[in-house]
Amino acid sequence: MRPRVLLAPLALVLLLALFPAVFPGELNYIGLGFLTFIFVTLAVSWNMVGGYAGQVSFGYAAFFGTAAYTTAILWSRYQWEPVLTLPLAGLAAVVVALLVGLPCFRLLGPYFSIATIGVGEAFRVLALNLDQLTGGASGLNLPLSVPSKSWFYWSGLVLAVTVVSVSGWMRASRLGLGLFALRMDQDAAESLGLNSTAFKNVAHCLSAFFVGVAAGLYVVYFSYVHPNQVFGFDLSIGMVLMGVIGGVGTLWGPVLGAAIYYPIRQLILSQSNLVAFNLLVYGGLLIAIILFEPGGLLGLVRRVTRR
Amino acid sequence: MVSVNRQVRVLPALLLLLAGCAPAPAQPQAAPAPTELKIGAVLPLTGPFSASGGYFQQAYQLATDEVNGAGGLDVGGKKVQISLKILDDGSDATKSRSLVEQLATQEKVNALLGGYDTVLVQAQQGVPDQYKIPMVEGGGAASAIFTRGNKYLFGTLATIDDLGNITMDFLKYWIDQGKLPKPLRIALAWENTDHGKDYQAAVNKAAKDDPGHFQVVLDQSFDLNGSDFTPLLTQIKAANADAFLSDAHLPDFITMHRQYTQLGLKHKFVTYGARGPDQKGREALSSAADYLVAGLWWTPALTDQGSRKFTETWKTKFNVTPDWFQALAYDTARVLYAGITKAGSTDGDKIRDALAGLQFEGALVPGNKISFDQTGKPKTSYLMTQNLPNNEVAVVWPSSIEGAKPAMVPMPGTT
Amino acid sequence: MYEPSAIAGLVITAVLTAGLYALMSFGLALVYGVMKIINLAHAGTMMLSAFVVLSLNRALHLDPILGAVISAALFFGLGMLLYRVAVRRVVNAPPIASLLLLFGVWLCAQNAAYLIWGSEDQSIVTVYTYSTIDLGDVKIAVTRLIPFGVSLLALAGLSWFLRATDLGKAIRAVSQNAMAARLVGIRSERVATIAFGLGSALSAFAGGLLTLLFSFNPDFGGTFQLKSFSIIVLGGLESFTGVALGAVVLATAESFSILIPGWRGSLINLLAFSLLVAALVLLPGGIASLLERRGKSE
Repeated sequence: MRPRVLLAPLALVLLLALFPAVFPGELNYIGLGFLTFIFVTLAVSWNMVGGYAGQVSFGYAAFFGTAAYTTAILWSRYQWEPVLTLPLAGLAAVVVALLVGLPCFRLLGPYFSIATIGVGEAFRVLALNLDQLTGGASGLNLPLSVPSKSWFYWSGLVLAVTVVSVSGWMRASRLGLGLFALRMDQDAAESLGLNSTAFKNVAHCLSAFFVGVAAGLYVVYFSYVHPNQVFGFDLSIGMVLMGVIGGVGTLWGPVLGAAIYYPIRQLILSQSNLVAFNLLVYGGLLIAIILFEPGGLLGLVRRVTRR
Repeated sequence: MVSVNRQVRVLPALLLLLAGCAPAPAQPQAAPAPTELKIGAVLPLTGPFSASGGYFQQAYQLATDEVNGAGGLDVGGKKVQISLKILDDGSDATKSRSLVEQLATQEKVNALLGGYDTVLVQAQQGVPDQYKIPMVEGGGAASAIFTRGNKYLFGTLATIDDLGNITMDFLKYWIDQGKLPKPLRIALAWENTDHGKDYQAAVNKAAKDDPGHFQVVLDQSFDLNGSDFTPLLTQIKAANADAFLSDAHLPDFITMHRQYTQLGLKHKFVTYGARGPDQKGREALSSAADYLVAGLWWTPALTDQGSRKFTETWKTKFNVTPDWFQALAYDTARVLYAGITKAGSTDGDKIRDALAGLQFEGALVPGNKISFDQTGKPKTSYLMTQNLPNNEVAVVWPSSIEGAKPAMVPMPGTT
Repeated sequence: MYEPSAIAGLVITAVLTAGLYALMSFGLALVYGVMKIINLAHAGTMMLSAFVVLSLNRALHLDPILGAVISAALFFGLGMLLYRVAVRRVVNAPPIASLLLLFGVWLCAQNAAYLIWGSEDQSIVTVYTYSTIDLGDVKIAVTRLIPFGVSLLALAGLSWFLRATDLGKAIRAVSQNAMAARLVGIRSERVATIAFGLGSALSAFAGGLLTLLFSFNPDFGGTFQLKSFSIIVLGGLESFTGVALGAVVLATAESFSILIPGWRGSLINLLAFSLLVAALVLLPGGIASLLERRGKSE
């Protein structure tokens, strides 16, 4: 990868990192920034499997929720330091990814997607009912004293940068090339000796790990966790949407998608007169992208820069 | 490919451009001069809770308009106009929390009015203490809300465990009067939410503390917004209970009681928690809803002057009869405004202290008084109503309430 | 603990609910069968249809059953329009495209409902809402019997349609192999348009009938849609009889779940999701394929 190509992204990261130092009073934007980084992490992670491998999962909330509760339980019940719970949250997500991936990756195309919907929802219903473990429908109330907004911002930034770097590394690596081959034609790839199961599961676990760490950070930020929030179908489909809006299967597409999806939606919701139309806008955007520019916004950019 | 390089450069530029398009950061201001009072609220105006969210919005607005119409709110001797900003969280917890934070940090509101439904209130409740902006909420009644150590949060809804308690007190009275069997066999069905769990805990505790009066023979949960309660109702039928206690929200109440009636179930006493006199429920259930008993925070059937005036005003303005949502939201806003007047300032800490010691008179809730304990929990209680035929409602408990009539226990047609 | 009449009641509940579930799932099954697309707008169609029936009931005092028929006709046209304008462009794209397109349509449908009818829960009461048929100790609600009866008629009607009419045969041909169908002169595009319209009409019809039983608001339909997924997967994704079988399995599981010791009523939806995943992983052809295999080996 030529070093000059990295110049612009590095400049961006530097600018972002400096923001809370230069504007420490802009708590709203710092908070918004943190949540955007979390969503970037989720979108880029999802894209590793949904984009690179072409296996569209609608059940990533299962990983997010499991990791979220891991952090929540270790923190509130066993008094762990929140930061120390994050690797474990990631690992918990990986375990779930293996449990889901091993049987489900045998399914092809839309069958895999439907199965993941079932998995995500099954986890949600279980979490709502396993009161002893998860607090059930009451959710878990977590300590109200948390690190500063800036701490969250920078942690989120570090996480987002890490996951984008890993995603970028993947594209050129054997793992990534194998996934691309699988996406294009699984039978052909396998006939050349590619172990599709191994490749898919490795990618799945890697992406789940980052989703898990993001979930842990998210939970600490909110001081509250509830099954409908962390296991919700809205979250799963949001991850798919961010990838599609930005450009599924590319490196920067999900980043762009997350940047659009989260802050822009917040913006719409905060304008009281647009509130009644927010679903229409969201739905309309989706339809427009699918019909006119399936490559998402990145596809649009490509078209423009080609001129 | 030449375009790859271009893309990589264009992308970050695009992202920065997007960031730049966001509203310009607000300039740091000096402490706002009290020419305007900024109040914020985040409510579910779309999504599963939108119906109630809409009621809260209307009521907050009504209370605000009334104050503004009279010249403004008295703050430290000066009349100040209230500027109320209400945002939609789409019934989503993440958005709810973020938007409240936005109101606190971006709009720099002086005080907050709470959201609706326990889950969203719990998502919001970290914000008041973090930014030292007091919040009065009338939409979350789970007792867990008041166990988190908040100093800047105050509630006007008596918590659900009290709903269970008052129901059991009511039942105990009638058992002692010989109108219900002793011990009373209770079939309990509760929705799987914070709300339902509070209710279930209270009923079970009463039975444990007083097995001579109460025996819980069935204790079963159901999913919020479920569709088919026939298996549950079959279990209830098989339990051979004397009383059926349930805690449900409106759609489940309608579906469950319809199916209950269609299956030919009968109990000497039936309650659906805070459901019963709801207009929509009575329309959907017609005579099947007669004689149901409910525990409520307020009802338009109350005949005291304040309640009657409120009911009239609401009917004239919105063409519907108000329910507890509207009344409690109205009280919530008025309590906040009274606290601000008492504080004589727009300073968060001063408002908070004023609210903590506030004795609000002229509330719509039974007892007409609202004040708070040291956790912010309201020292208010419930009343109980019974549906009567022809869409009538009677207040039946406690007997100290103006116009209260004794309940018809057991329910007619069930012995 | 349970008397025979209670068990009989559970059996009857299972059967009646199965009819309801099957009715809800036919539309989804048809669209999937013909164009291999999961119609995520199915929930939106059911919901909008319920509101249309509500409006017809309020304005013209039309009985919901009649209203459902009218609504079905309306959505037949709307479905065909949606297909021609949008869906046909993603039929041959990766599955994610159609999934998200129709999800977007669902979101728009929800917003439209909020804007037109508001967010309150609505319900329809008819003269027969509380009528029951009594079989000794067991009471059967008329409003539960109706969707069941209708679904039997629909099953028979649809099966006949697919077997005996030219259009039906064309639909079957396109379902099996769109390319081959075109080669033998079938206008696949036209067939697909009609099939999508028909699928939408079936969804709308089910949505209209659901008003007999449930209250609804713009958020309505999501859980039913997920259950429909489970049902068509259980049934094998390819035939209407399969759908009926899938519906029977799910409804029976839900009805008898209370007999499981320690069962929590709020776990009931777990059954649908677990069956969905189990069926996909363990039984890809669904239950229908199991029976087919048995039939063939005899």
